Amino acid sequence: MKTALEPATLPAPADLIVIGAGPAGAEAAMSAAAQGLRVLLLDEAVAAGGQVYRAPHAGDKKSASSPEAVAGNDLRARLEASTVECHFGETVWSVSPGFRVDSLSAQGTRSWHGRALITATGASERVVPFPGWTLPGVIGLAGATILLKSQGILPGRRTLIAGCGPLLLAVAAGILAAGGEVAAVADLSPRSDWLRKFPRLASRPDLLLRGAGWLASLKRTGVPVFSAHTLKEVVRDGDQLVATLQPVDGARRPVTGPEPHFAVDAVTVGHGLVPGTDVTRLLRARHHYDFAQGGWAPDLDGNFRTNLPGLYAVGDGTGIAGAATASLNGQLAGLAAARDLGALADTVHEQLAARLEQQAAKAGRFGRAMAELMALRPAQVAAISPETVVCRCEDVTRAEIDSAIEDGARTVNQLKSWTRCGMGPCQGRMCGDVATALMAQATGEAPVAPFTGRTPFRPLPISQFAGDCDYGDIKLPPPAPL
Amino acid sequence: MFCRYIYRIPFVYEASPKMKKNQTEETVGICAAAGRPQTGPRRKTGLAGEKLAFSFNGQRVEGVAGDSVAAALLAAGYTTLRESPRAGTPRGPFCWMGVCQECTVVIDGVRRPACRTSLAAGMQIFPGTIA
Repeated sequence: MKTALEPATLPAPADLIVIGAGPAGAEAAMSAAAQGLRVLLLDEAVAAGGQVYRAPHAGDKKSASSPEAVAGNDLRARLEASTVECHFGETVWSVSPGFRVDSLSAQGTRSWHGRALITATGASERVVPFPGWTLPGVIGLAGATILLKSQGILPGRRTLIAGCGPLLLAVAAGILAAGGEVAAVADLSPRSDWLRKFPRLASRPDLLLRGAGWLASLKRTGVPVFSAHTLKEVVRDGDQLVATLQPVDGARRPVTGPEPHFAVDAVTVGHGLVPGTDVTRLLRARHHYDFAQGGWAPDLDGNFRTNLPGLYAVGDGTGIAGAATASLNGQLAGLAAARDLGALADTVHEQLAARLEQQAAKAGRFGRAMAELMALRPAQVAAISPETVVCRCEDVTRAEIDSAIEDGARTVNQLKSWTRCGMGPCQGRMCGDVATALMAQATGEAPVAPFTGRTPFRPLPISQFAGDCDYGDIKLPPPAPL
Repeated sequence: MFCRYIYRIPFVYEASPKMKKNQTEETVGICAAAGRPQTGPRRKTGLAGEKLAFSFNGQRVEGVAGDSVAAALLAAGYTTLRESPRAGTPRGPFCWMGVCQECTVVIDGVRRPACRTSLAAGMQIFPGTIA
């Protein structure tokens, strides 16, 4: 009889398991497999590419020629031709030392075993809360890029775009190209922030040129671009959303001034990326706080090793540096794991790694400049109003968080057990970064440690977890003699 | 000083009086309207593919092969897919990458994030509100 408690078949352990098939994970898996290792690659999505190289919608012929689609198709073709054993549609919900990885798919839960593990889980988007951000029709900026790239759909018929970083222009131009209307673009960064980063951004003239093209398409269609403006609030008015902007100063602190508002049916907003550290936090690897690279990230040596033997981390989950850096570092992490597992001689490893390291350092300069532009500024957190919901899952407001801190909560775990902030189905991925920042500001002790990593990473239907286990199947020990 | 947190410890708890007030004034009206599709296309121009019929909350909806459940629902004008468990406010897809779980719906009896589920013909989908 098959039950969840006693798996019927235990597949032979792989040499290496890679979690996440974005540019970092897919490249890591391929470079390790090229050295003769048996490599398993797991991802929640239906195909490789991660968020940045998501496969276009099957019916969308126009997007198939975008640089992301071309790079993604190349990645998927090379992966197909490699010896990497790919398992897509597998949502990893637990990782145990040793390493055992548990995942959930439409077929139920499965366990995978490997001698070493590379986590390449990428990043999630930060949205600093504001009144109205939970309204349907308000979506993340990174989410909007996904709609345009792979879902064949626009966020709305008329969209307001707000936040910071390069995605603002990418989404605006994408909506215009797909036949939609952009009401306005509100950039939190003053123009001087972009100019200060210019020398480092100029290291990638191709990307800079693409950005200039986006800006030109906005100019052509007369879309207003508000520099140094924040999205103050969104309210619902019948079938429409009304979004109000407010000017900010150089520190991104809201200031008094004209507050333009726009009636739209969709709002996309994003304030940068946060490294996805689910696996490294769960396994209690050592982490550090890096403001410029998105927040908490695992400590790594020069070969992508965490402080736990056999556990490697690579890509935006180790600090935001962009897709180009992730690809190169992924190859390096795969080689490092192959060397540590005895599949690659030290001298050969050094030869193979030297050139990649140079390229990765160059790509990193661009990626990190972008990440700094999007890093969370204290004034953004301070500006959150008391009635604003911070934890979306559990509807916990800033006022409730503040009063818990006033009552003595000193860690975000305490905050979680007192207010349920971070206890919902997203497991604190949406609010964790802002909750730690709120606590750091209130207590004056920075940085505040993140939520302790817990399983399951994703909600798990208990029926699938339990399989066909029945109470009668559980073997009870004989009662102790009285 | 911990007293005011105690009522929140059980997994199922009451919304605070303030939240209930908000709920009756604004959100109930919104939720009543939320099941009604808005008009006009949201599709990218030039998108083509086999039509797939499914149902949402008992209503017949059509998507396109290659859609996620969330995209097909948004294209049909359904922006609200559930209500939040504590304040009962309307929610729809937010992150579109399987992180936020706001787009959770019940698909053929199983709770799943709509943005991470590929649409198949004949799916019976219901809002993800926890009763």
